[in-house]
Amino acid sequence: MKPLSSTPSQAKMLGAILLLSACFTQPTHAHAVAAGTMSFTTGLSHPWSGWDHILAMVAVGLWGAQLGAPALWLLPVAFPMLMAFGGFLGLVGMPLPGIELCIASSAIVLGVMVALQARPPLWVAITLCGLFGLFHGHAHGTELAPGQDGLLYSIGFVIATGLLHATGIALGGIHRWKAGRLVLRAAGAGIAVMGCWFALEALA
Amino acid sequence: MSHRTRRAHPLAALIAVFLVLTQSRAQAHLVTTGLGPLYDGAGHLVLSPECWLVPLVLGLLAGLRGQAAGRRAVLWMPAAWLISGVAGSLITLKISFPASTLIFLILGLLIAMNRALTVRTVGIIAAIVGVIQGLLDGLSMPWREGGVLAVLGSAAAAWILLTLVTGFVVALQRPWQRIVGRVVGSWIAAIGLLMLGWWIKQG
Repeated sequence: MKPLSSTPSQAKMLGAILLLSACFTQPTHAHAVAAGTMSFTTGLSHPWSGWDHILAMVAVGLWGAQLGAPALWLLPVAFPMLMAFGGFLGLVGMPLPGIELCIASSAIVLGVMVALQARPPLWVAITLCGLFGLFHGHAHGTELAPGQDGLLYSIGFVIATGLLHATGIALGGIHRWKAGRLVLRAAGAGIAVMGCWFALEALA
Repeated sequence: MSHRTRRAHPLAALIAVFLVLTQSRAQAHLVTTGLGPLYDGAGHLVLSPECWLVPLVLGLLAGLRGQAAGRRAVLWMPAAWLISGVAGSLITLKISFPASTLIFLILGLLIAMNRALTVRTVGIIAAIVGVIQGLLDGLSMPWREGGVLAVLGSAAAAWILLTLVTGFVVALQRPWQRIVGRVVGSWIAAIGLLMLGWWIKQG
């Protein structure tokens, strides 16, 4: 019978599993859980809560990848900044008109930009992304669940948004190949179609 | 240093950040480590995101401005933190405004905009940040409960964190690495802005 021994790679895997288990453990409470303990994970999961948000943020990354530097990183900088400003307006209770329609429009416009491989002046691209970021942020700000820890929620929220942009940029890397450019444009068209569906839902 | 070791560092840092972020909320009172007030102070900083984010952000700003600015920040911030913290532990004052919010917002914007700050300006910023954060720390650590030692512990932990982050960022020389630093700066500013809205909402 083969002796029970672990190879270095197995030991590493076991260590990784143990570490991962430790990461996802939660504090034990004798009484009701105190508010704020899950704020980071709540913030991290919030931008993934709706396809309208996900597609628009990924589209920002895709468009940035098509446009190349410096738009590649300026768009993902402008979007979270203006999104945070929108979140700020939502939190302080300042209303913005037509939020849902503007969010749906963001998927349509950004999808069309990717589909057409549009190359407007840099300031136009930044303004467009920033404006849409404002509306997305406002929606997140007003939908915020009470009893969260502001800092941890904000960290999770901003990291998740950045990761969605990074996903778009990474997927947009296929832009360097001819077939990849076609796939990217098709993806842009798909996002625009989804945006139309979101707009119909908003108007219904 | 071997290639293998160099690759392990970002992973270890990522795991450490994840572990800290997934911890439960820090309490108004000091974390009790059972090792005395010095370690309680250090533990308070490590387990309070609004505390450990401050040296992290300052380290990013100073590191992106080069070695000399980094050295100035590493010297001034902990010194100001310690002095202000000791003063804070001796007085009783209630500050409800989350000052770290403004620190994140302003420093994050400076990083994102890649402002060409002089070494002296970075030193002044580091001192101001140290005074504010040290005071907030000191106010939560009364001297009767070993507050001075606790402040020393938190200032030492902040100094270690600031030194590590500054050293790491100074070493980033490739253009894309510096751009990543600026993107992180914009995220930090966004966090500051959201926190400000949060604070206003809470009233």
